[in-house]
Amino acid sequence: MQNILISLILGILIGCTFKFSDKMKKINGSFQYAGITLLLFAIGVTIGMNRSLLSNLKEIGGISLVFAILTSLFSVILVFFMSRIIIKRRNS
Amino acid sequence: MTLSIIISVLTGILGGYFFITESFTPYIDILIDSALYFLIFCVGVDIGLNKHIFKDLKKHSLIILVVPTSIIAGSLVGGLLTGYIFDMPKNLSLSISSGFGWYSLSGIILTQLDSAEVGTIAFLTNVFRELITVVSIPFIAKYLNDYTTIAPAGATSMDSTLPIISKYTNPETVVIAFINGILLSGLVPILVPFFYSI
Repeated sequence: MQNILISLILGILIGCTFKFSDKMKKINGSFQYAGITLLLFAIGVTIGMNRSLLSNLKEIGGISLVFAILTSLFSVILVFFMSRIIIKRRNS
Repeated sequence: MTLSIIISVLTGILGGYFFITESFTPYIDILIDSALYFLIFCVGVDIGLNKHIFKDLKKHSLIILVVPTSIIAGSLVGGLLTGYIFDMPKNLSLSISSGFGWYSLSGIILTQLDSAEVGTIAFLTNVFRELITVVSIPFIAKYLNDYTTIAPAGATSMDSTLPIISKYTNPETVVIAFINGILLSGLVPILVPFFYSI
């Protein structure tokens, strides 16, 4: 939490202070792309290494999957409709 | 991009299962932490290059409140419905759904409060929620709107899924996502025990 905040603030300060050329903005974008791929690979490794998690997957995986789908789905529906109301009000 | 996301996670899972042994765990943790901090730093640079969004945020203060409250309400409704389907007590289904994607914490809290089984359900629920988030953000950004990309992410919108939100939306949404993540992350250790105790 603390380190994340520090990384973010450091990035914001550098972005605010220095002028970036379009080429540098592009490089910043591809750094993000490479970072995401690496991060997701590492998250996958921690899932794959967790044998107890994988062996439990059949028993309680179904319940967990339904929990994950329905909580995500209803969050998406609510945020979508509420934000649409706000966007419409802002535009009118 | 979506395809490379799925391939990264899948190769990771297969690599973790077949090739990488437990002795590598500390290195993997270091890799995750440094990749995350580096990414958040790049996201920060993006925000800093668009200074004007801080001024715009004052105009958009309503959305900063609406996004997290809608995510909380939506998660609880989805949780109650799942509990109903599997005939679970309401306090359990509500506390499992209050993890908002933060798997390590809600899994640990519920293992302590109830049992390893409920803790594992909470853990897996939020692992799946994060995977759903990663895969669905590109589609949500394309077919719904930018703010909605924060919805499945829940509490993770301030760290692990923030770079993906950033990739598919704009700096304004990233700032709202970050604030949303801070608010929801702060609520997880409060709401999970609260709903469990009712």
